[in-house]
Order: sequence, then C-alpha cells, then structure tokens
Amino acid sequence: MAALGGSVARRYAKALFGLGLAEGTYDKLGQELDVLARTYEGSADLRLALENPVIKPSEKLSILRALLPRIAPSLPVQRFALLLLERGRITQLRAIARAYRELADSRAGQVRATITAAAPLSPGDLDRVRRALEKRTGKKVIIETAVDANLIGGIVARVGDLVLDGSVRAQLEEMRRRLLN
Amino acid sequence: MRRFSLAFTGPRLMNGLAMDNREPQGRGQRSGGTAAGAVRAVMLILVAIALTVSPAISFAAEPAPPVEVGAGDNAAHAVAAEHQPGEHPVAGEHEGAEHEAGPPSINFKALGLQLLNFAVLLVILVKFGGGAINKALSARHQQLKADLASAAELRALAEAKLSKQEARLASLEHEIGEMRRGIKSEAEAEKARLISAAEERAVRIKSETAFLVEQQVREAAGRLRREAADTALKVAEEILRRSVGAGDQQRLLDTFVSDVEMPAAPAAGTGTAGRAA
Repeated sequence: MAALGGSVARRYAKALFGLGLAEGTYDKLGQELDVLARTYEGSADLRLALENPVIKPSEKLSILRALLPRIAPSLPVQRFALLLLERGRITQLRAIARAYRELADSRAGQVRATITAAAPLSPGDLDRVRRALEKRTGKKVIIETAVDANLIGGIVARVGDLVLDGSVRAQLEEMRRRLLN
Repeated sequence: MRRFSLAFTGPRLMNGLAMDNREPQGRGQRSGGTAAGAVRAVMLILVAIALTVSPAISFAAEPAPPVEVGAGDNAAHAVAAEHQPGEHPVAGEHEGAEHEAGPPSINFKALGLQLLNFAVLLVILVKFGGGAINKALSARHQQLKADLASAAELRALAEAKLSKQEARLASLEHEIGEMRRGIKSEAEAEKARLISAAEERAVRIKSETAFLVEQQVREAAGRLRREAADTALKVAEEILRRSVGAGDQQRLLDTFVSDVEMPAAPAAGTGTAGRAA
C-alpha cells in the first residue's frame, strides 16, 4: 500500500516538476509545495475539514481556495492542490512534496541526508559526516539533523533509501540477535 | 373228492388273483399287458363258478330220491352234506332229517336252462363288460405301478437322505473340531493384531510424547535464552547509558565516518550497519 502510495505520489510530483521545469520555476514550486505540505500536516483542523466525507466537496474546495493564496502564491501549485482535492489525493500531499524534493535534488545533483544522534552534534562533526556521505554517494549532501536519546550513542544517517546505522542501540540489537541465535 | 378239489381250489383261486395283482409290484419285469391279466381274471372267475356248480351237477347225476323236492332244496341239502358229521351240530340234525326223506332228484331240463342262461350271461359280460373291466384293471394296474414307482423313489430319496445325515452325523465331530480350531486360530490372529496395534500405538504415543517434550524443552530454552538476552541487554543498556560520555560519542562518530568512507559495505562488528530503509 505504501509502495502504491509512493508510486502515485511520484507520478503527481513528476507532473508538477515537469511543469516547473518547463517554466524554469521548479525550485520555487518545490518550496511552495513543501510549505503547503507542512501546513497540511501541521493543521489537524485543516486535515479534518478536507478529509471529512460529511463535508461537501464544494465546501472543501472553497476552504482550500481561501487558504491557497496565502500559502502558495503560484498559480500552478494552487491548481495542483485543487486537483489533488478533487481526485481525493490530498492525503498524499506530504509524500508528493517529498517525491518532488527528490526530483529537484536529483536534478540539482544533490541528495538529502537525515542525521540522527543521541546528542546534538557540533557543526564540525556534521561537516565531517556530510563529507563522508558525499564521498560515499558521490553527490552533494544536504544535511538535516534530529536527536534521539534512545540511540544511547553514535549516529544514524538516512540517505534516500539507504540507512547507515552507527548507533549503540544498533549494536545492542545485533548483540541480542547473536545471543538468540 | 370234488369237495376237496373245491376246498383246495378256492384258496388257490383267491391266491392266484392276489398273486396276479402282486406280480407287477414284486418284479415289475413280467411281460403281459393289462388286457391279458383281465382276461385271465375273467377266466379264473368262470373256472371258479364252474367248480362251484360242478358238485351240484355231480350230485344231481346220482339216483333220484323217492320224494321229489325242488332243485333249491336239493342244493341246500347237498351243501349241508358237505359238512362232516359232528362238525356242525345243526347240520347233523338236518342230515338226519334228509336221510329220513331220501335223496333229492334233479330236473336236468331246468338245470340245462339255468346253465345256458348263465353261459349267455357270461358271454354278455365278457362281450360288453370285458373292455371296461380291462380298462379299469389296466388303470388300476398303472396306478399301482405309478404308486410303487413313486414309493420306490421316495424310499430312495429317504435312504439317500438318511445316508447323508448319517455321514454328516459321523463327520459332525470332525466339523466341530475344525470349527474349534478355526475359531482358535482366528482368536490367535485377532490377539496378535490387537497386540501389534497396541504396540504400534504405544510407539506412536511415545514418539509424540518425546516430540512434545522436545518441543517444550526447546521452547523453554528459547524463552530462557530470550529472557537472558533481554536481561543482558537491559543491564548493558543501563551500564552504557551511565558510562557513555563525550569521548565515547566522539569515538563512535569517528568509527561511523571511517565506515561510511569505506568504499565497500561495512564489515560486521565495526559498529556501523548499512541497510535499506
């Protein structure tokens, strides 16, 4: 189901990316799409209003039309959001934004990496990690950070579909697996 | 002399008649048809009548008594005279009375007419009744033959049945012995089968029980191993949470960076595990 959703999101993202690429505004469209997705994910009231089957589709369109100019000024993004609402794909907005970003990064020859550590890393450590990941992937890496105390120690880097786990938690799990086997 | 002849001939005649009827029963092979038997019977009847009448004729041929009496009375006297003196007291009294009256005379004319009449009667009987008599006698003869054949057949069947029953009775003991042996062998076979089935079931139950015990032991060992691992990990995690410091974090970071920079996948035990998300 997730793969199916990913496929759908990639298809919609590719359509909008093609439009932005043709107009030379794919970066701007990506930013607006990302803001729209964050807003949708962050607002429970908005999700409830747009996903509730009791509310009429026309009312949902009116709500979204009222919001869109403030969130996404570009006309293609507004039309794209209304199209997603009409097709019942508004719930895929976050995945579509992620797929769009991947397309844009791929176009720019860069890749995003999420670095999760047990404690916040210093800028120098992050720069070391970024360089190591760039050497590994051969692409420019854009770092995003997160903190998870359950890791106990070490870091976990997620680059696209690849996960590099150097945490103490992972080593404990590996030790547990060996003990059981 | 003729009286003896009559007395002797009467039983022989009756005997002959009886023998004539018995002959087919006893032998069954004697030739001669039913018609010949009937004719013979008629002839014998005629001879018997003639012999019965002949004493009267001979007596009538003797000198006539002085007193004439009827032919019927003479015949009665003649019959009475055949009895021996003293054999029948009443007859003796009559005899004394007749001697006093003298011998009876015979009217030959009347006797001849009577004989002629009797002969005509016989001819008529033979002429017109012979066929019916023959037919009746023949039917009777055939009936008797059929009855005798049926009786013989029934007797043969009965004898065969009797011999069969006797033979069966004689072999009954043997049959009982055979049945006893058969039942015993069947019981032995059933016993062996039951024992075999019980042994097989016991082996199966034992095997299943051993399997269940092994499974439970294995499951208990696995559970124990999991609990031990969880406990060990929990203790290790608590120790690590207390002991991991900035230096350890820096060392872990260095290890991660060096593992990521390696062109090949990180080796086991190096601390960094690569996997697909």
